[in-house]
Amino acid sequence: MERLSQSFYRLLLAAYPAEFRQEYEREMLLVFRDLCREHRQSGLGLVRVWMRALLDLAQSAPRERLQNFRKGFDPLKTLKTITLALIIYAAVVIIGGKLLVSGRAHLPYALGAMLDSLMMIGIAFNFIALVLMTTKLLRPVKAVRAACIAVVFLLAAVLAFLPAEARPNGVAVTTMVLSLLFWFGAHRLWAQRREAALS
Amino acid sequence: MKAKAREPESFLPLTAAMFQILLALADQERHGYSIMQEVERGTGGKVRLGPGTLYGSVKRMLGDGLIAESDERPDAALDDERRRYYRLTDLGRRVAVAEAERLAELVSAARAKKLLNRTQAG
Repeated sequence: MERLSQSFYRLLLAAYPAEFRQEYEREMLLVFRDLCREHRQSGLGLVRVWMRALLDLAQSAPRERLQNFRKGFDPLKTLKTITLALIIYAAVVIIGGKLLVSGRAHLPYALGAMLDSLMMIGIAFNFIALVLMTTKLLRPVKAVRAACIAVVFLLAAVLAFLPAEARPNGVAVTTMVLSLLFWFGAHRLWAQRREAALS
Repeated sequence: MKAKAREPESFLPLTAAMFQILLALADQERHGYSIMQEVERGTGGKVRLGPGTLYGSVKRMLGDGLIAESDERPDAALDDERRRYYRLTDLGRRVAVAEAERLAELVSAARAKKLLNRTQAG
């Protein structure tokens, strides 16, 4: 029972920021183990240990998360980065859109659809990943994963609300999946390098 | 250029957890669980630190230079080598004294207003 408790407590420690866990997880588990032993000896049982641990977790994990979020967070710099990114995105959308509209007439359908989806998915993917990283909500690799999941949900939501006749055909869906994989792969490679450089 | 050392008063007021940890380390080096036990014993069970609050405070106090990790280990037979021991630094001791004096002044003020009598204040 104690082992199970300790395994479950280890899982709950995911509520703390990764850097905090890296530094103190081992010791927190030792302390939790000692608390379990102490209460077994005094006959008070695990319920009291768990009440104490859960209350502590509910108080301290949000505090550590908030502090981690604030660390090195510069609101003005973040606002500037996001504004600059929005301007660049707007320029890409306008210029890319114009080029695609004029070029589509001369391109084979599959190639045109691929360029369309690369651009549209790229805009959504890059924007979500950028917001998550500049606000330091998640570490780079996790931010890329979260951006991918968000785009998949976004696409699924759009497709669900489209009328049947407007739904994309097999070629379009394939190009969307390939585009998503392209952006995910490119970002993941970059994020892994960034995390390696940070550690 | 060497950074100017902070005055002990600039750390005040301390959180209850931080002050209790400084008190627990005032007489000897301790590991995390020993700090928790000492805090509980010293407060008659009124303050019970959890692992997250303890190590969150430890992290901040290490960063501020109030405590430090100790290199010395107790008897190997009694020790779990995975544990880290912490000790009070000179700055930490001065901050603990300053906080104790601040609290003593508050108690004096409460006594002057007849909110406390001598026996209650100890």
